Order: sequence, then structure tokens, then C-alpha cells
Amino acid sequence: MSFTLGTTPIQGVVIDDRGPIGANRVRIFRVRVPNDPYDEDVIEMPEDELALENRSIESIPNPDVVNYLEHGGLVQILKANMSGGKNQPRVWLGRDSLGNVVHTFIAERGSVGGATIPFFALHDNRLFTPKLNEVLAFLSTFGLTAGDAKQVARAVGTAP
Amino acid sequence: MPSNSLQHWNATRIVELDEIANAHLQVGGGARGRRYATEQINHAYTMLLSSQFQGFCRDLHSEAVDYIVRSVNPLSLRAVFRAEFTLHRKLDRGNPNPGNIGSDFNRLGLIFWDQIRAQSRWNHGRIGHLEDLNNWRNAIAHQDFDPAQLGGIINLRLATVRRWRQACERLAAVFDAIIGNHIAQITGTQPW
Repeated sequence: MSFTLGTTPIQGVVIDDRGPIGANRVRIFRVRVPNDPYDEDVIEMPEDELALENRSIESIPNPDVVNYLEHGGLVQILKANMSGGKNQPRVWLGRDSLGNVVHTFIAERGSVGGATIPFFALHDNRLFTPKLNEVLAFLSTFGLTAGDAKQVARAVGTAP
Repeated sequence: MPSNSLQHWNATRIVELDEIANAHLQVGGGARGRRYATEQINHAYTMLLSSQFQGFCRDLHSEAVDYIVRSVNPLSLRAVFRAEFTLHRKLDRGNPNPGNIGSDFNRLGLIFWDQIRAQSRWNHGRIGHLEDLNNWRNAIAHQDFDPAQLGGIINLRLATVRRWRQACERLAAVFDAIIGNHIAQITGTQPW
């Protein structure tokens, strides 16, 4: 479903039908609003202010992926798996409400990726050298060529 | 005509509470074990009463938000107001204790419990019953029966649950009236 929050078009998912409890017995829905890569929010909307959304998830050109990962995206992603353990996080890249590339931990909102984030691959916000090959392999899951992946790794830098 | 939320309380929620009240009556006789069985039903009745009252309060809050937001112009602000009123609402996650109820309804622009207390001196006692109900709800849910938190008792009797239910039924009608009048004052239109 979609609606406009202020001036921002929002695509959300209806997660609960609260029933016809609104003014003039309009149905009220609880709608999950994405806030990737952070926890989503849930707000209530009446059915007459929601529109059905059939937009498919667009693919992301490689230059946009590289640009995002070079400028903080990869470091932020790798920080999400510094503690290891069971159920290590998987990550996808998608588009936010303004069309910018962003990472998400929700498969349905991503268009590329889905691999498990390498464990403990950062040191002082740079790539931990013993994990470099693992990170390069991880970057290829976003559809990057070997050259693109190395370019991202160079931009982020390595640490011993 | 009451709010949609109160109609739903009267038509559906009360009926579901009646069903468990009837289950208590079905466990009759003087056989050993009856007291234990009825006490478990009293516990279940308490949990159900608390959850149904929580559902009513949340419905009423949603309905009130819808009426208030529809009076907002420009239209582009409406979803912003809806988000402000319903994000992190305590009644979505917490018990319907007076603190949580007051916190959520105060966001609509009134000091909720001041209004409720001002409406009738009998509401003081009903608010106390609501607190007791939720203390017991927590004790049952966590199986932690601390007499200091439960009015000095650890055995729950049907008469007590009935008293709480009467308080909830009365408070539901009072909430409906107070919130309806409040919406009329701030929007200029009587909602129900």
C-alpha cells in the first residue's frame, strides 16, 4: 500500500486490519513503514487514505551500488555482524522512499544481495586484512565484478 | 449513539467475557479439585478481561485519532498527525493499566484521568479496580504472586473478577463519553 507522509511517498505493508472503527465506520489498518536499515515503524491509516501499490522492486545499476558501498554503506553493513553467533544477518540492497540506495535486512525490500555478512571483517572502520578475500566474495553477491569489488575495498581501505 | 469502539465492546467483547463466565458456572459440584479448577478459570477470566479492555481502549484511541485527524488541514499533514498519535503507543504493547491509558489518551490534548475523576467520584474506585486487575494480570502471566502487590491475597475469587469487570464496563462508557466530548470541543463536531 502507499500513502503520502507530509510530502514523502511511502510504500508500506498492511500487517493488521483493526476493523471498521474509524469515522463513518471506515476500516483502520496498521501499516508497517520501512526505515531501512533500521527497525521499521508501524502507524495506523484509514482505508480511504491508502492506495494499492503494485510497483515492482527495481534493479540497481552497478555504479550506484559501488557509490553506496564506497561512501559508508559497506562499513555500516559489516558493522552489523561484529558479534557472530547463530542467525548471522543477511543483507540486501534496495531503494529508500526517495530512490537512494540503502541496505536492508528484509529480503522482500531488497533487489540484490542476500548473502550473510562476513563475521568480524572490520578493524577501526577499515577492512580487516585477513578477511579481505571473504569481503570481496561478499561484494560479488551484489552483482559487482571483481574489479568493482576491489575498487570498493580500496576506497574503504584495509587495516592489519 | 456510542462510538464504534463501545458498540464493539458491547456486542462482541462482552459476549466473549460472558463465555468464560459461563465456563466457571459449568464447573460445579463439591468434588475435590473444583476449587483449583475454578481458580484457574478465574485466572483465565482475568487475563481475558484485561486483554479485552486493552482492545477496547486501543480501538477508542484509534477512532478518536481518526476523527481528530480528519479535521486537520492541509491534507498533507494528516498522515504526519496520525504517525505522531499512534507511533509507540503504549496500548499496542503494554497492559491497559491507568498509566499506559493516560499516557496514550493525554496525547490527544487532555489530562485524561483528571477528566475521568471529575466526571464521577465513583470513578476513583473504578480506577483502583483497574490497577488491581492489571497487577493480577501480571502476576498470572509471570506466575509471580506477591501478596504485597496483590492487596494481601494470593487466591483469586470470582466475586473479585466480577467486580473488576463491572468497573471496566462502567469505565468503557465513561471513556466513550469523555473522549467524544473532548473531540467535539477541539474539532467543533460531535463525533458520536
